[in-house]
Amino acid sequence: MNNNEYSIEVKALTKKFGDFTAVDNINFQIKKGEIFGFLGPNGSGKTTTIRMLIGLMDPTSGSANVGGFDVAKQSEQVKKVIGYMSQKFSLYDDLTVSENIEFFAGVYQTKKETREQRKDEVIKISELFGKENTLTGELASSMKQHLALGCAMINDPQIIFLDEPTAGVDPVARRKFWHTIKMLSERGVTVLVTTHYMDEAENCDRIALISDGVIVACDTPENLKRDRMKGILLEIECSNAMRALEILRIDPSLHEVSLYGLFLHVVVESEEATEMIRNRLSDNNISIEKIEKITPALEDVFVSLVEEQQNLKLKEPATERRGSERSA
Amino acid sequence: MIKHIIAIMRKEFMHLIRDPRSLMIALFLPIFLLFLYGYSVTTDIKNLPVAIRDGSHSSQSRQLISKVMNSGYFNLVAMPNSETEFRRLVDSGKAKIIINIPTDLATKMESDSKAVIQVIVDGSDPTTAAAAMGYISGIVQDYFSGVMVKAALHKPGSLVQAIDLKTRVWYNENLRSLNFYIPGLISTILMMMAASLTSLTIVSEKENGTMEALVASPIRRNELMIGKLMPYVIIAFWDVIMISAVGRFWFNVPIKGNYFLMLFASFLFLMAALAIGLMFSVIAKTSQEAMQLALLTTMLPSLMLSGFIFPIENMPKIVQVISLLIPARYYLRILRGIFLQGVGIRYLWWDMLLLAVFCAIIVRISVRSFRKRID
Repeated sequence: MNNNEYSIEVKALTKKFGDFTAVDNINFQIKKGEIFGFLGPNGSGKTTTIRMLIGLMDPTSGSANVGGFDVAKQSEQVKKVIGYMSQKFSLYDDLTVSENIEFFAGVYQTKKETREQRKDEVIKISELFGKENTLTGELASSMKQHLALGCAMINDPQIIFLDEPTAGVDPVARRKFWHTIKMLSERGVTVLVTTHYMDEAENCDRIALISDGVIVACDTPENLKRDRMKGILLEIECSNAMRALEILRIDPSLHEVSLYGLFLHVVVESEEATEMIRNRLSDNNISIEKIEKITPALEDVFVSLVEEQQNLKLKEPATERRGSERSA
Repeated sequence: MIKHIIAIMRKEFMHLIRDPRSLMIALFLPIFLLFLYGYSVTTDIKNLPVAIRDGSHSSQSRQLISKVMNSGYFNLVAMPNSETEFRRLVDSGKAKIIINIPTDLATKMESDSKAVIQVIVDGSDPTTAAAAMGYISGIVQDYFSGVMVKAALHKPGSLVQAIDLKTRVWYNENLRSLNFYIPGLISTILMMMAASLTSLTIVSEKENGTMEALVASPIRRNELMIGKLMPYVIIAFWDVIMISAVGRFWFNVPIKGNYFLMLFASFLFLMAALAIGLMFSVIAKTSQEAMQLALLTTMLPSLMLSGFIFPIENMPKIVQVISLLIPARYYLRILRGIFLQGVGIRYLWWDMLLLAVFCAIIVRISVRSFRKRID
């Protein structure tokens, strides 16, 4: 294996499906034992990226090195050193827990001497003691996800890829799941995990925010929250949040207005804008309970960065279009 | 390599065990189908409804009628008095055949002049019509020649047509159509069954999302595909043994040749059929599509282009070439050779070789059609 400090290195990785660019020239490195989060809405290119990294899809251009192997040229070697948990549940419902584990042990050809130990390990990771002979289809969905994580660890991989592992799992089970992920990372396993739950992303060592196939930011959650927010974030509680949203959205001096539960979050240049907002809302007969400055959550950062990104994109095609008109 | 294949095989067996209904279908449907079709495909004539108008009312006409009735092929349904009733009898389907004996039969026969008997056959079912015509003319000829020989004995010196044609049929001595059709049914049923068995194996993994875990694993496609084929080879082989036993002991179709040679040919044929199913399973997007492809491309060609129903020699050249792509064509010749003719490898090696080559090619194509990618 390589003694490189990075488990995963991605350079200018791009995937196009016809005219559509699913993953657009992304770059990042993941250190050994790091929990690296891929955060983005559905359809932003998270799954496509993972599929390229584990050799299920060929990149259109760019390269990636996973565990010391080039994913385009050595995809079969890559598969031996990684574990993968796909977005869709990929175990057999009509097989029992231990039969599923047995099957993946056979497919990954774990050595005879260590096989029993690996199977015990998987049961331990899955937290399914005493459920070995239960049909997998009869397990609760959170247990299924845990078993899928366990099975992804059957070959004792150095790197695991988890594609939305906690989708549809209740909050308590999600916390347990993350506990397991942290335990694996402490043992030196590199974890690349995708999610669209913002609160989960805070558990990662580093996060890449991805939107429309582009990584808009990549840093630790703390740094992102501290550095990547332009302006000041205000939280507004008022009598009619929906109406207030409509009113404030059309104001050009406000960077960004979004609904956050029952509150509005508004990004402003300086605190002087507070007065303007007060006036604007009271003009429209909306009473304000409170306006205060808050520290941004990841979600605010994300919304802000994505909006920035989309503004850029909106400008680009416009210039292109003008160009083509001229040539025609 | 072997361990990977065993892991896949074990899993496939587990699926089968956990789904007893499909397993029962796989194990017993072929036998059921053979029973069902075995009774329906015969073209031998039995109890064909016949109407006879006896205009002669002579001892000769009565002799002729009793000869027809005693043949066992016909069932007398009416004795119309006039020719005007004929149409009604045939149109209503009451009678398939009408024998019209003229009033002057006795006088013509006694005066040694030519007697004419009219036979009307319902030609809307040509197979039955042709067979019935054959039987009747045989009976009538037989009757007249008997009468003539007798007459010659009574009148010494008179000339008798002395040519006596004796035909002998080899291999299926009684021309029992079942003996001919059972091997064809076996090949058609096996083809259909085997192709549909494997047609779901890959596509269902795609539908369940489990394919993603398989392609992300280090397993090779050869291992995956062979591991998927093997359990079905065993099931299909069981079907061969059961179905040939039913043919032999229930329908009394003799197996004159080497049974093990037949099993070997069956193995090659099954591999080809299973590989065809597997190939469709790789290509298809949904299990419904896979099943349809497997059934449509195997069932009708195995019936129509294998020589089962229509002789290949009579087909236009281009269709004959297409029939080379139908594995049932080779298998059927081997089966008939072994079942009916009792010939061995000396005469069957060519068809065996073609079947083996076909099997190897199609297995390879089906393995290669699978790609360890998601795109």
